[in-house]
Amino acid sequence: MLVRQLGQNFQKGSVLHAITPVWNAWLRLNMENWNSKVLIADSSPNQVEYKGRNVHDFRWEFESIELTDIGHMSEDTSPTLIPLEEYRIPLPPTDDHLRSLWERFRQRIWPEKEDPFLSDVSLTSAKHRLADLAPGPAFGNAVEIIEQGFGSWLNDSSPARWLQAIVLPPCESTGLVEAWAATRNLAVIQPPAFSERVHSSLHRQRMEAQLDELKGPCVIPRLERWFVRHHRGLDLLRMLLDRLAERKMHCVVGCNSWAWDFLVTVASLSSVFPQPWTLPPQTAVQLGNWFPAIVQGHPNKCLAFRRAQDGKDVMAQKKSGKLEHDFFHLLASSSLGIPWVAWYQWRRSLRLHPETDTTSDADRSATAGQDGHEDVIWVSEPAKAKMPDSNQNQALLVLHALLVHGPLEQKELSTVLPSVDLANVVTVLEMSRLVQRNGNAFSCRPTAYPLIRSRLLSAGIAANVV
Amino acid sequence: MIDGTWIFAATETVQLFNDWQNIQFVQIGCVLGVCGILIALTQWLLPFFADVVPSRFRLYFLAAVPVIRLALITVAILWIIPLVFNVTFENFLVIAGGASVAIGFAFKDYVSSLIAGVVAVFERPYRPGDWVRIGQHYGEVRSVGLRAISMRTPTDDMVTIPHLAIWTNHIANSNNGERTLMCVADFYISVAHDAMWIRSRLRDVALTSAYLDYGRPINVVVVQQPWGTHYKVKAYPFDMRDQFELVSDVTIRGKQMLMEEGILEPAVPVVVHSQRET
Repeated sequence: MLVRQLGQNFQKGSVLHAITPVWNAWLRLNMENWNSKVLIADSSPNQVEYKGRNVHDFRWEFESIELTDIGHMSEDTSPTLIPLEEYRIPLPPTDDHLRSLWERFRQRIWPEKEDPFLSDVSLTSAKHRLADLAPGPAFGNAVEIIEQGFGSWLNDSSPARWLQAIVLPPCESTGLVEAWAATRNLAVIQPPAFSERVHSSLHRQRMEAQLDELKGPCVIPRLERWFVRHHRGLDLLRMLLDRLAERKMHCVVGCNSWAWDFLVTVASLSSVFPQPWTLPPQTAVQLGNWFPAIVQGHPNKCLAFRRAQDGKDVMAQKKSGKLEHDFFHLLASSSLGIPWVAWYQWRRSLRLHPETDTTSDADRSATAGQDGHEDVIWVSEPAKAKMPDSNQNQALLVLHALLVHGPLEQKELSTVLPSVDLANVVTVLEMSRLVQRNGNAFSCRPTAYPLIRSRLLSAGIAANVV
Repeated sequence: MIDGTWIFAATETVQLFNDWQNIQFVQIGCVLGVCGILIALTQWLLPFFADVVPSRFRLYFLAAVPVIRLALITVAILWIIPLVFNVTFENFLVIAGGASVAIGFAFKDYVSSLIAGVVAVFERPYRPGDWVRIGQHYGEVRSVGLRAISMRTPTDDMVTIPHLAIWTNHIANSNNGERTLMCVADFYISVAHDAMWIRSRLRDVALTSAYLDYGRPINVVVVQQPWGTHYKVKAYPFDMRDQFELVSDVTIRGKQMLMEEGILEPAVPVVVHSQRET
């Protein structure tokens, strides 16, 4: 049919018309491969809809295309929850892989000292200004996205499904689902303590009483804290799922992606929650909108975020509205599109020049509005985490356990892991900045999560987990 | 009797080899040298990359070693033969006849192993990285040579087995080129117990092992015996190199569970032939 249409269009004498169906089919195929919901709204070659947004002014450059957003960055349509299986990690700029490979090769053959615009050594951490420059919450506008996804379902008194699941990437410690539940005044069922998860009979009655008392919608924010990888650690979760399936009331269950991947097999979660949802990946444009918008206590127009390597403004835009610098593309890709990972990476990359740093807040405010005064925040390459050289298998088991369960104490870790050679592994991981300690509990660092994930996937411990 | 045929044959066989002055020894040396270097590089680089790349690609790299080596040797031989021999049909017959006698009397097993090695490259009953059982030996295939394979057993013995074994032995390949293989942990329990409950508990023991590839099925097989009940917990580790860790972990935690529940092991010693050496 496509060929016939092609021929007809050629008969009309227009090459543009002739290639249009081919172009549209190609565009549809490729964009679907990138897992974007593509709607070819118009067969006209200068207007298509991509991710629900109009794009135009594309042009062929040999085998590549360029899509230009009609809308300005700030006019981004509000994103919504997506099915879990449709999550795709933002791709890095096309030449980034080749560039980094070449750089690694060149450094090995002809090691040269880097010549950055400003040496990282000469900059200081912006720790004491982070509360103003990049305040929380780490999840950005995710509460609104969840509300948009579940709002109408919650208002429906007889929905097709009473249970909904939202699967979130790990390392989210600030309580996103709880925050959304608070905006709706929904009852939150808190997880039991670790010991109660192992000895489920202790908690069973309390859990049943709690569920019986509930007369309205409820939220279980962290399903990963309802089980333990122990031969008695799955009973409570199974009881909970049975009780939830019996209830005819709205219930939203939050779960981290690694626990979900485990529980889909172990507890047949997919039969209870056939369609899990997740947040859409953060794109470069969204990050470029988010981070300047959260700066507090400073007139934005006088604040500049410049890369220490080349001095360029990372927020600068072209006339078309596209970002001039590929920094946010790299950030979106390196953070796997996870908002809190991007937020922590962004905060970690902010640096100050010592001269600027010594300026008091009052002086900054006084000079901010004056001509020629620009408060420069330097954005440096964050130091990359590295896996410890020794005991890598044990290290991966520990990291996997921390991702599946969330924060765990040393004693709890020894319950869920084989005890062989476990000693000192957690300490080494903490020193390698892969793991952080909060009180007695250890958890994976958000900034190290992309590395941890890639190592676990390489080792075959899991596949396609966000 | 000297007739035309014999004269013709004698003349041709005299020219079996090229004139010594015309043989390019430097070129032959270069071909052999380059071939040797390439084979050495292949044998060093591919296993190195196999350890670096994601584990799902590991076996592809290891399995490529014998194929590439065979290809290189074939190219080198095809290159060198015309340089040394005067290649004609008659010379081929002469060489084949002589070689047949030598092989038939002296190198029968050796050549049979070489031919079996070529067959093994294409049939792939084992590849580097596979866990195989040949005869009494079970272990990981470390290298596949032209004549024999080297295998490392769980007790850290290196066993060299000629390819000839594929003609006469059954070869049990536990993973057959895949990343993982089935492991079996055995439990022996005295008669008086709730078998259904124990079975589900043992399944949970396997499900919660840190080494488990939970994307693959788990099965607990129950076999009634005169002395009690034999439970076989079958599961897959996420990497076959962790097979003994998985079996040990499931066994330790399974025994712990049985002790906590007051389940007794049979009083009469049981002689069991384990499926694999550990």
